[in-house]
Amino acid sequence: MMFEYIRIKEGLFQKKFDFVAKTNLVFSERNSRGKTSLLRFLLYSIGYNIPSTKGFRFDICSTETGIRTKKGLIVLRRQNNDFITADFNGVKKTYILPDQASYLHSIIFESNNKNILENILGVIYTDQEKGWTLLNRGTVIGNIHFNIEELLRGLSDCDCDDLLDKEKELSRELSKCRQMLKVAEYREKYAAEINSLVLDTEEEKQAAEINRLSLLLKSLKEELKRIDDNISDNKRFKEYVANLKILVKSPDGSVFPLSENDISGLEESIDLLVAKRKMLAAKIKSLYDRIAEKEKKYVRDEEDKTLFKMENILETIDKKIATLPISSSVIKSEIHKTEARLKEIRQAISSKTMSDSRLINSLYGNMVKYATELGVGSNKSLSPKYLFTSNLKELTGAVLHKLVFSFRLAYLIELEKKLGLKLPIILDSPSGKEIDAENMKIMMNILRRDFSDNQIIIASIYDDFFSDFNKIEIFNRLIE
Amino acid sequence: MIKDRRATGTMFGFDFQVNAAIFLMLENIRELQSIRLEGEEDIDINLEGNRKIIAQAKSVVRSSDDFSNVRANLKKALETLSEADSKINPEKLIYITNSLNPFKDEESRKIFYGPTKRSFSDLPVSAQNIIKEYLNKINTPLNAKKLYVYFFPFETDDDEERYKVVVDKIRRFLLQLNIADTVSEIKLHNIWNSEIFRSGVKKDKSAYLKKKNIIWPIIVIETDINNIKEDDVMDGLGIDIGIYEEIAEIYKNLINSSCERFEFLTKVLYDYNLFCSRGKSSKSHIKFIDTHWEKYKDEFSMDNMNSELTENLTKIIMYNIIRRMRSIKKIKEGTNL
Repeated sequence: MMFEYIRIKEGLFQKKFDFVAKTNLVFSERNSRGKTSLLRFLLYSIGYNIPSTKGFRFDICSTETGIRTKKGLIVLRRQNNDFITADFNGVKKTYILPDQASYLHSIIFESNNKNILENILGVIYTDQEKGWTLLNRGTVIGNIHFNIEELLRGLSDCDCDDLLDKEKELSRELSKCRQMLKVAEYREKYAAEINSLVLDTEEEKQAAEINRLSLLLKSLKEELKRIDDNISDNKRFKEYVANLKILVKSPDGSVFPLSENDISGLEESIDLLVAKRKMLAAKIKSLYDRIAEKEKKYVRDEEDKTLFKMENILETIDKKIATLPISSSVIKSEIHKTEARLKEIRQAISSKTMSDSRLINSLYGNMVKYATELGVGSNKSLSPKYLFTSNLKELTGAVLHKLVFSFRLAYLIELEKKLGLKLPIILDSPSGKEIDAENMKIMMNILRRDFSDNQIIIASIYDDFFSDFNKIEIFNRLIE
Repeated sequence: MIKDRRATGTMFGFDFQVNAAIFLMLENIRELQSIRLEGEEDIDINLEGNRKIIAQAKSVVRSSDDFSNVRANLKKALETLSEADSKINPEKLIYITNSLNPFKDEESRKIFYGPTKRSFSDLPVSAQNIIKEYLNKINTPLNAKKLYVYFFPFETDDDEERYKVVVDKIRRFLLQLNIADTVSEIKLHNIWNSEIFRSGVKKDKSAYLKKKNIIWPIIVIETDINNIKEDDVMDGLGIDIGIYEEIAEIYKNLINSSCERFEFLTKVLYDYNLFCSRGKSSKSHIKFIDTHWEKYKDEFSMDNMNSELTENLTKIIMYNIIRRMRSIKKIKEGTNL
């Protein structure tokens, strides 16, 4: 897949930019001329949710982009954030954004795999700001993320959705438990301060009693509902049998009609339920009365208290927290349990993700090859596990920059194998802040040598590393 | 218990009427069809075969030492009973009271110390004479051959003391039905006293309380899933009582529902019936559960339930279904419902 052209219209002004199949350099002598904007427009114009650059509102511009796929030329037109149209072989289709973006992308990139589609951008596009520090997990741009595990699952057609859902659920539970722990610890601290966890004020006792009775009431009402449901069920069964109009042969040979009263035990089961219900209803009524009485008394007492305004709101909250029946040790043990389960699930996800060892070895092999060329590692210093590292702090700017480059190319190779097509490589400021001329040469060499069949689009203020390229020069503004 | 038990005359009188009704009902339980309380004193009992018993309940708050009104009570009761006799022609006429000296007569007072029932002819002569004197003054006096005088102690504000006789009578009734170890006489008295006999009366003063409305609450209590004999559970089902209680608590809705829904319980009873037709013993239900639980276990197994839990749960449900059926049968037969 490659970009052929993009036409950008801003109000009365518009400009068309053409791209070639090989290397394209978006160049300007000075900074802040619009190079990044052009690259971002390319992605915006094919349906991605790209944030506008400073001083430029994408959603008031309209774009028309021609991309060439195996199937032919697709012309994409976008005027705002809400929808995009695709013209292909004379057929025009409209896609609502962002909901249907993935349908469009599945046509462009010829894949239906959700994990792949969500992570393609992170492979082909390296943003000037975040791109050169995105090694294997993080933000590509805006709210588009990249995650190596997701990509691997996509490339190996692995389905972990159930496990992933479970993981999310457990993480939520864990976070809730941790919040509760904070409250419990606060409560214990407060209780230690006032030296007692015992509810010793009358009103707290009343409130606790009302709560207890209300809970009891709730459970009795649930029981009542169950009984009512079963009474209905049984009565319906009775009717059903009666309506069947069956004639029964008795042992002595005579025939008699089966009536609802002939079913052994049916009438009794209904009688029992009705009696139970009556007793339960009486219990519930008496409980209601008790609660109402207590509440009346409680409200009266509360009203008396406010006359004196003895407590300020913080004291009230503290007292109420003191009445909460939570203990930090119970919650801690719950947290441990949940953490253990979460760990299990994550291990399961991880082992499923890594199950395709051929894929991982190939990915590793390419990453090490480029890392070695760039002098940031070798197969001795980097193990396959390094693909999944989270330890970026110890990497300096230049080292990280070059590693990112190696990783990115390794991803690209596997992705292209899977999709069976070539993808464009879009790099914004590959020289970054830290890369010297020597390293830049090596990086460009790698591209020229191993990715000669890919369309390459680079934005840079340097043009001396390239030969034989399509120069798109931006002088003052992107659209002039 | 009764909420507002100030010993005022009316409340006390009403309380006595209810308990006298319970007392009389238990006496006639097998033949009882319905019972009605009217006003504060009347008790009408309908027996099988269209026979009736009419009773007048007269009480005194300080029954051991206040005899100022007993004669007046007696006179009024005899008048009312006479009226009933001529109108309805009941089988029995009963004057029931808590006074230790209902005739205010030193001679006869000796016989009234524990629960007492005396037909007219069994009363001391002095008491008979007092009655005859009142009857002579009535236009259509009752037939003395039908008259009975009942007494039982009913006094003080302390529940245990006040209700001791009636509660004891209930206990003996439960023993007769062979359910005294699973049904508490105090609980049953509470339900009869506070709910059944009062709610019926409160709503419609002339409504008859049917026997089934009196007896079914006993069955409800007896068949509660938490109301089991430890031996049955441990030796029979082979389940530790602690485990039974735990399962019954956690799964109480499921267990109760399975025992209540006819569509399911009939399956178990059908199979049980078939099983018993081949020969029944006192331990049939245990053998049946042991050999058939696996048939029903799929109804109750849920995700993450281990097999032991499924087995125990299934057995508990089957046990309760069969026990329920047997209890219903036993109590209905015992009370002739």
